[in-house]
Amino acid sequence: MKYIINREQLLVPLQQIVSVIEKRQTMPILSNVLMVFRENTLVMTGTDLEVQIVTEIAIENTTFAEITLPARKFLDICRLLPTGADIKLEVADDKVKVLSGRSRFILSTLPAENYPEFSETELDHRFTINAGLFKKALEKTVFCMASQDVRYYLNGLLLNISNSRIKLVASDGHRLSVFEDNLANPAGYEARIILPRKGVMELVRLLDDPQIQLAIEFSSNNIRVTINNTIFSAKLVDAKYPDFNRVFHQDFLTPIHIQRQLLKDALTRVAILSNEKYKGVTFDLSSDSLKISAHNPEHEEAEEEIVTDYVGEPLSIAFNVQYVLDAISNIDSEISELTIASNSSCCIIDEPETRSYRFIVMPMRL
Amino acid sequence: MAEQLPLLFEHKFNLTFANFYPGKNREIIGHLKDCVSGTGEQQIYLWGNLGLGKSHLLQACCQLAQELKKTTFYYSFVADALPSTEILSGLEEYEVVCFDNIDAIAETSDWELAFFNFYNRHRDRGFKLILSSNCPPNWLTIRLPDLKTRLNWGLTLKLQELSDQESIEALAFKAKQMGFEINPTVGRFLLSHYARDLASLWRLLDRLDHATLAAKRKLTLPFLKQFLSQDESD
Repeated sequence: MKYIINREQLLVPLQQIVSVIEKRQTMPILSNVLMVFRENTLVMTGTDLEVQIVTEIAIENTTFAEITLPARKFLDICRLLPTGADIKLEVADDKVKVLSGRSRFILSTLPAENYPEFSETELDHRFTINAGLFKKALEKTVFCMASQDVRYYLNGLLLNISNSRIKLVASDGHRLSVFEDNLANPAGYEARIILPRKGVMELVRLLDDPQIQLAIEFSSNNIRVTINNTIFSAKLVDAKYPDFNRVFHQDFLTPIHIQRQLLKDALTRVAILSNEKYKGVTFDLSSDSLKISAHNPEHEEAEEEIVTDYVGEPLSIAFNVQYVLDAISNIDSEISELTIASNSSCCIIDEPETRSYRFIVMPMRL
Repeated sequence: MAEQLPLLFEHKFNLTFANFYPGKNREIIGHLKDCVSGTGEQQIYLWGNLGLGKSHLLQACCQLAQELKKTTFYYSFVADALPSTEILSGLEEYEVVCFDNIDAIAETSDWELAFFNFYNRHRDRGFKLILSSNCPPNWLTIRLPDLKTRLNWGLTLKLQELSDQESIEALAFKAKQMGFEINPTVGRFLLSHYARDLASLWRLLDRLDHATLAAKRKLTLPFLKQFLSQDESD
């Protein structure tokens, strides 16, 4: 059986699929991409059993066949062939010939019937959202997720649907980000699920077209997002996200407003001389002024002063500079707003007006 | 030394039978479930030391009653801060009523009398009453003899202390629900070097959660030793 596919049609879907495939596998077949040829379509699947991507591309009339190919090798071959090249696949027994122009490769295959099925429970919740909005929501939160915490809920992202409200929350226990917005079509239910870190990272990559409408379906175990011809599925984190709202329910000082770029530049410079391990910087606030300073074990010191609209008693509070920088970098407006708790127990960083997202940074004791 | 402060997460658990570590108290759980579902005793008096989970079990009874679509009421008495006896009015219409720390009403004559009257009205309707206390009914310092007799009418159950091995398992069970792990070595160390009573161990669990979160560390033995030594010096 022979199939001809254009390199440009194949490349992007294959890249998306290879990205979910783990480099080391317990089951050899999981290193392969499953390719199912049907009438006028090719369906490709890649999974690590936690996350799965299935994508469909149109090809000219074909006969039915199911094969699996070593995904990374096949991608590298496609990637390094010239732009616009036609790629011909010849399937014979346990080998597949890949031919293009004067290039010729023989790849080994594994039987497609051994390719594991991604188990999914019935997806009983559904909502639709604009891809651009959802991507923004993910980007404003993912950077706060933990990566290898023992607490499973921290290595993931909370998705909370309350009828017409969508809320995403991520935290590594030292800082937290919250994104909230309205859904154009009310979902008609209240639900909280935790998406796994890896799945979230892959999903962000898939959302490259901000115009389209996404259909998101989920149960208490699985989520499925349909993006044009691609279906993204992931198993959810089996844990309960703890309550974090107490951090908002306290007294705060009047917010201070600082030009975002000015603050970012000052922090970046001061960070050079902060302790490499703890990254602590001190904020000294007094009327109209913010002094940011750092010192390290070599007794080197850095200090920057910024004019602010702060009014009130002098105040000193320390933060991990990286956490503040991450938050500031994710602010879209020119002005950043910093709201410090009266008892200096936390700082909320957000935009002065829109407030669809907020970042909380917990302080350090230096 | 520099120290990052963690976010204060709150784990709001529904206190159910499923998230109660049973240990030797499996049989008691059975009696409570039977009572709530209607097949068991009409009245259960549960007693035992602090930290064994009396409040948890009483609330689990209410959770179960709600699942079974029964009307239910829970109240925890605090000695020296008793509410007005008004809270009892109309309560006889509730199918499952749970009172935590019933010992707190002893020697308060208006409460003893009000409770006695409620008891009779509630019992006449055949509804279920579940009480908890730190001592058996006979040791209560209740002055109203008729009330004292009545508290003995139902099934009296004593919550059993957990063995060391069970306490370690219970700690690990609770920690798992909070999202972190306590391995047996750490559990044994806590019991032999920190405290044996569950009430103190439960309180420590929250602080260990915060400490490991702040340090982004697993709860290993070296980490625990460091935490406890800092704790002493603070």
